[in-house]
Amino acid sequence: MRFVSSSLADTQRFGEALGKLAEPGDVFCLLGDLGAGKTALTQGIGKGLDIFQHINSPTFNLINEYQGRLPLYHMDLYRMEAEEGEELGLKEYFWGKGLCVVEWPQVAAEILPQDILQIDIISQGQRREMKLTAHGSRSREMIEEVKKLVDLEY
Amino acid sequence: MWILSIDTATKITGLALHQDEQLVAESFLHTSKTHSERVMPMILQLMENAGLSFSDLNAVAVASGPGSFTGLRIGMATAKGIAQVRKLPVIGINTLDALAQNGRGFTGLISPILDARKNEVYNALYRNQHGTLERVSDYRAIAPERLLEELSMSSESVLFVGDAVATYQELISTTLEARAVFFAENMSLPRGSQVGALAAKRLAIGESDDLYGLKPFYIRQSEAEVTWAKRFGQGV
Repeated sequence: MRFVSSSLADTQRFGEALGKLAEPGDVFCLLGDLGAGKTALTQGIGKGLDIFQHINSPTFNLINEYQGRLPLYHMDLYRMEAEEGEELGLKEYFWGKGLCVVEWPQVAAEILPQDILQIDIISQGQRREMKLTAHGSRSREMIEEVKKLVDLEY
Repeated sequence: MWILSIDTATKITGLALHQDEQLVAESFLHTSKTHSERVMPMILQLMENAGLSFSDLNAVAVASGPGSFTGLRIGMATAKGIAQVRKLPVIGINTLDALAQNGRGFTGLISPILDARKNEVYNALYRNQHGTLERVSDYRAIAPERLLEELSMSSESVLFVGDAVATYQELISTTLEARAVFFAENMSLPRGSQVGALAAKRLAIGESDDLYGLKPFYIRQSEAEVTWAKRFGQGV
């Protein structure tokens, strides 16, 4: 499934739809270059989880936690080494009680659950194309659901 | 023309300041501290020792790989950050090309080997040709056994330099016997000055790299990328 956003507001509304659908243990993996809008999308996801705090890029903290309808674990693994994943207890987050939104997830490939929702963000000027890929039944269901929400809203 | 060179491709932090092709200052640190902690303070100290400020610099050079993935990214980010802010040309130098320079003057084959983990070394072969080094193989990640098998075919002396020498010296000596040549450690490890020497040559003929186009040269995918492609290369 593809969603095209032409503004920051579009991106955040799309994120909000995803956030509304999230259930405990869901893992969204965001792939895209620096500045593609991974954090902007996560801000929308946070809104969909009824999180009212401001969501920042987790680049320097690796993991930021927010409390909403579900806990949101917002991670940026860009600077992590594969061996550090164990130490940081990433598995406990991935199989935890909240939603994990993982930027630069490749380094954790070994320990991620299989049924992730993969979101590739391709940027071109103001335009953002978001490509959703399912890797299991739960993520496939999410994509079907978000199609309905997005159709209703736009 | 002042050139600051940064090499964080291995566990060694190597820095150098060249005025044109002349080496003016150099630092070398081989400790367990991470590059991200030590590289900026070391740059500041080296510049201060040489009586320079950032506005005196004319170019920034960086060891662009192969090497440790994180190390390369730290070096690249540091060099690019300085180059972008000061609007300076940036020059990437292949880590193996720089390391091979340790053997300039040696008449046989020069074989830099860098620890690539997973029982492999990063390597390329070089030979002295009219006073400059010519690369005579591809850049590659190779098992030391396979490299030695290849080298067993020839009858030339082979000089080994690099941080993987310590690990494989015994194996090399057993296989190549008297044809294997080693330098003392201080002549064998990567130096910032070798990156700077090659960068000065490129700068002298008007060459530099694109600030946004220059990327680390990893040779092979990280293990994580391979696993990612295997597990998540295709959706369901």
